Amino acid sequence: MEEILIETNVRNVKLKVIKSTDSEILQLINNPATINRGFRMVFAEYKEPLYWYLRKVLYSHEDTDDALQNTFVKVFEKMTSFEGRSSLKTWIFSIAYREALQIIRKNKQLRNGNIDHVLGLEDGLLADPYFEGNEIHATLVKAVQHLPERQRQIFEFRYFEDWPYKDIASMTGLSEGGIKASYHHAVKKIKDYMTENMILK
Amino acid sequence: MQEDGFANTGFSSEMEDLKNGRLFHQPEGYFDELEAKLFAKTTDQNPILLKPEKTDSRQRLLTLWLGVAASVALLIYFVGVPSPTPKAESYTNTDIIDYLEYSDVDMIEIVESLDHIPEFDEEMSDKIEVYYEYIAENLVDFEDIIY
Repeated sequence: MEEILIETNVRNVKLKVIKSTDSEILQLINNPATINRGFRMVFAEYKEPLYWYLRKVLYSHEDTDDALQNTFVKVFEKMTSFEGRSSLKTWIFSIAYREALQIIRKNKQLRNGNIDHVLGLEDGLLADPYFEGNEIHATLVKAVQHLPERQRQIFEFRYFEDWPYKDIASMTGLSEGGIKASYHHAVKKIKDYMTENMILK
Repeated sequence: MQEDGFANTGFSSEMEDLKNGRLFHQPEGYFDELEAKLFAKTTDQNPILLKPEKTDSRQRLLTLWLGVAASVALLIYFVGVPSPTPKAESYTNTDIIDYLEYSDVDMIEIVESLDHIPEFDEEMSDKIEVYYEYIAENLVDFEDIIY
């Protein structure tokens, strides 16, 4: 077990959190008598990180909710056969990514694969009661959405989640060098997109 | 801080807002609802994954009694029968008690629904034979709980 000190936004309260290691969680999961506790531990530990990752990828709360539920169901179904080739976190997030990707593709299909879907997203975002951003935020979202799938995945894990390149490489099966190059291309494309859309002043 | 490449742009603070997720909100009580919904869903799909028991001592005792009663009843039922079901022999008292302990069966509700036997009472240890007999005679009603 690992003790972590977390500073909250509420009156600078500091919380001491006991974080279980992968092997401790897996030990619980692999014992029928403690499997329930193991799953609840996974849920408690990953619900918020996964929610916020998915939310930053899918933007709408409803889509995030769908992806998150599907992610946990798959994690619980497959966890007893998890072989530990990567960390639990990498494995769980890769499932979440695939769920998000399915929703992104489905949404694209629903909008006939037309680029208009991106415009629709921007308008929808500004009308979303759970989104407090302005037009610049919405345009940035649009810029990220314009990235090719793989580049977007790399950008989101690196920029939004601060993942080390080696973890992204482990998840995607690509080389670290390739991941770095892809990330820098993504940043350039976002900048170019913003310039073209005359947001920069 | 990582090299993010947006430091000198006119939208670096907006990019930071997106990164921190502070623009997004979720409905109040969302994670509690999610937990309830999710564990109900996974319980349906995976009988191993069950909601945690909130057992008080009365229910624990009842679970224990019923577990013991059920296993004794099984023994009574199958002893002397020409071809006993192998399945029954493969469950120990501990197996049955463990199963009942981790299942979402509401034992109190079941017992209280059996209006033709006396309501469960902690003081009734001397009447446990009533339960043994009842379970032995109505084994089919307990199959779902026992197996």
